[in-house]
Amino acid sequence: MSDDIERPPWWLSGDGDPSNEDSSSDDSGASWDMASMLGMVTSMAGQWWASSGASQHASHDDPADNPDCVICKGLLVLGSATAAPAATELQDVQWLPIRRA
Amino acid sequence: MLLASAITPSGLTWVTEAALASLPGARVFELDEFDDRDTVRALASMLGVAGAAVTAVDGHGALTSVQRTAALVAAFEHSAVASEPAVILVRGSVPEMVADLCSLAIVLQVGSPGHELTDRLTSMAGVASEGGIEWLLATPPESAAITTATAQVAQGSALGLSIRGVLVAPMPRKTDGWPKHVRDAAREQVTELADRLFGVPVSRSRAGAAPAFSAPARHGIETSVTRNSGGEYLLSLTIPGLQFCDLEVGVWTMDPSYASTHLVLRLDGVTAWRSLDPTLRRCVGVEAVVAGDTVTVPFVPDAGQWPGVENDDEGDAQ
Repeated sequence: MSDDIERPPWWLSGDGDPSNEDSSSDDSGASWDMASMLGMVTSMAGQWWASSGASQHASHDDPADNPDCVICKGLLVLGSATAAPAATELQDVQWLPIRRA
Repeated sequence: MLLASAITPSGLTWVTEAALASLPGARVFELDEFDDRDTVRALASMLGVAGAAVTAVDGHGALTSVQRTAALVAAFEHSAVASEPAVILVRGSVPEMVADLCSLAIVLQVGSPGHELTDRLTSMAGVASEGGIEWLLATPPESAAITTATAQVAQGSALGLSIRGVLVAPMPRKTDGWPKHVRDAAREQVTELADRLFGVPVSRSRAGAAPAFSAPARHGIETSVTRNSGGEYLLSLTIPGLQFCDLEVGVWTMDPSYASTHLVLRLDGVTAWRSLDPTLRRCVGVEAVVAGDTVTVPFVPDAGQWPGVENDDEGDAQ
């Protein structure tokens, strides 16, 4: 019994793993806020699409001030959070009350 | 294209073995093989130029997201023309990656319709939501890992992925000296996972070998629309593992002509966008009723969208 306690969790030990590779815990499971992701991803995507003429978005601080920019337009419609990465809600989504049957 | 991932790094070996047993003749790729380093370098450089108001952690996460989205699209486009089936090994959460792809596709549809990149992402997002991308997941038979696997399958199903199955491995073996109570507990975890994910093939490794998941993958999400006697349209979605996730349900529109064009599901922080059919776009979502693994959203016809039609049975869609 004491042996069981001293040993690491068996599924982390790699025993039975045909490769015997390191089986340390995955640290990639941390998710992060979707709104922040959309804002930042879109901001970077604006750079990515420089060839499409969207590169001017890089100098746009407030999407509302740049209605002709395709990236700002997308940000406004989605209500993403380039200017406020800590936002926790997807704006413009109408969340519905949930009832448990 | 079959995406393969695991809850723990060592599970990738197992899921690879299972994928090859399931798809004989398939070719295995790491997602990173499709990485476009030039694009990544350009993005990193442009982050500095843009002076994006993000923290280092968020910036890294966003950059990783873009990098993986680009790689996923490249892998998808490669597999579409490849002569043999492709297995794409993914390190990390497949649902999070596909959710990023779908969200970015929607951003592009709104902000840059008609652009070549918009079409590429939208095409793949559409195939994913319609069940055209399969997914095989591996997890060890440990409580926390089983919980994570359950949530990931629910998220992937909500996104529309076709679930090939869930492999539970490695199992503790008597020949390796594991005591009976450990082996029994592991088997109980397998049973519990199968119960949680009703309808999803769940198999465990046997004698140190991964099984084949030969049955065609099933579309993870089942959707139906009915109409009740009160004239409401009832959109029902059945998602395996749904009841084990924190759920939020909403509606969103990309076209101001309609009250809503998409149903938004957020399961444990992962957002899935489900496009609504023309009938439901002319209605207003009221609430979400959750019963087990099924969520039902009543939609009330929007009088402004049904000109000349009274709110009775005559308002049925054609």
